[in-house]
Amino acid sequence: MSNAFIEGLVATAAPVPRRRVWRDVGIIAILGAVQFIGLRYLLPMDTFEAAMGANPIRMSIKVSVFALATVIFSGMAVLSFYPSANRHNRVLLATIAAFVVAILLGFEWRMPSGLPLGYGFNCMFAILAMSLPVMLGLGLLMTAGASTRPRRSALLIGLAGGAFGAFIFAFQCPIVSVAYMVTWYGGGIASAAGIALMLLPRIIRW
Amino acid sequence: MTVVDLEQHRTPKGRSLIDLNPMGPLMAAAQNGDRAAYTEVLSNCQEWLRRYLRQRLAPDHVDDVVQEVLLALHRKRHTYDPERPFAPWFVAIARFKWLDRLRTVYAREEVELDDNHGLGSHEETVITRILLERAISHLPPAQAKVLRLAKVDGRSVEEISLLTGQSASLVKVNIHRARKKLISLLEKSYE
Repeated sequence: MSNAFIEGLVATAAPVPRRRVWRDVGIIAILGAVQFIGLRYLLPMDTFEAAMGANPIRMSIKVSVFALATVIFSGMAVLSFYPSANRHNRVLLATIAAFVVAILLGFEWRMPSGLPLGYGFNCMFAILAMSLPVMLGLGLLMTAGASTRPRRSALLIGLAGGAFGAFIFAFQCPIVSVAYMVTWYGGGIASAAGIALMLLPRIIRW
Repeated sequence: MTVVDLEQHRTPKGRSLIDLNPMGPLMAAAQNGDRAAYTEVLSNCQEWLRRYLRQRLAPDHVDDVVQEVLLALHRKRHTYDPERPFAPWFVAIARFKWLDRLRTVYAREEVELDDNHGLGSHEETVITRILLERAISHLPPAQAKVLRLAKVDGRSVEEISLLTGQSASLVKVNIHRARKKLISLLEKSYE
């Protein structure tokens, strides 16, 4: 291979702004805040206010758990865009374990009676839909990064988006049942993760 | 920053060693538009890549992958953080492109898989055969046997079918699964 190739690369090498992790995190935070504020005015908040009045502790735990999961998964996703990023498997497993324990300990065990099946599916699809902006934002940041484990990055993006969708949805869902949340909230988050895992590694190649 | 002197890095056996760590400050300068520094980085990386890939790929693939890695480094140079060492960042990119090439080569070979798929003597170096034999030992027995017969002994699909009692299509399936498993093992071994 001749040095003409290297000369060609050097000739086209303009100064580049370095990627800053905190800038990427800030972009996602702003995106999430805009979505949250926007939906705050679109979704009826009387349901949340009623639920908070009836079950303040459990509703607070519910919202906090999903908010924390969003922050952790988003942070891990952004860090994974660096080529030699650590896997942080223990952090990932600890987050998922803490998440599951919080749900198991913080909520009621019985499934709410009289709920039609369609209600749960609405919940799941609503979470999936609300996860899309954050997933899209993280996906765009992934194209600017250089992830050498694209499937792992895609999984983290899906989990972050799904957790954020669940966080937003939690404000207008008064149900605090473990069975319900594992089934429908879990289904929404898993769907987001599955879609991200299927699509992102195929689309984002470098 | 002075030019990296290869003579300073000769090992006792006489093989020169490219040290990537001094490339960090040069890469930082290159990000700011310093062309001389960037040329230095790319030249040293090219030399390192040739040695690295020569032991991991068939000779006719080495130059292509070297170019792919340097192009990837060029496109993603903004992702390098000067506060971190250069070598892990660059080696991660090199390894990623190398494994990508392996997947592409194996996928293409499967489409062309026929009775004459056995290795020609020019296809792999002795070192690659030794590494392949070691990697095969980590596979399930049925896959290991088929892949050893195919890639180490150079048997055809028909011969492997006769020796193992498996149908020709099962032999091809086992070769495909074994290759996927090998790539997965290679990825995990570098993590």
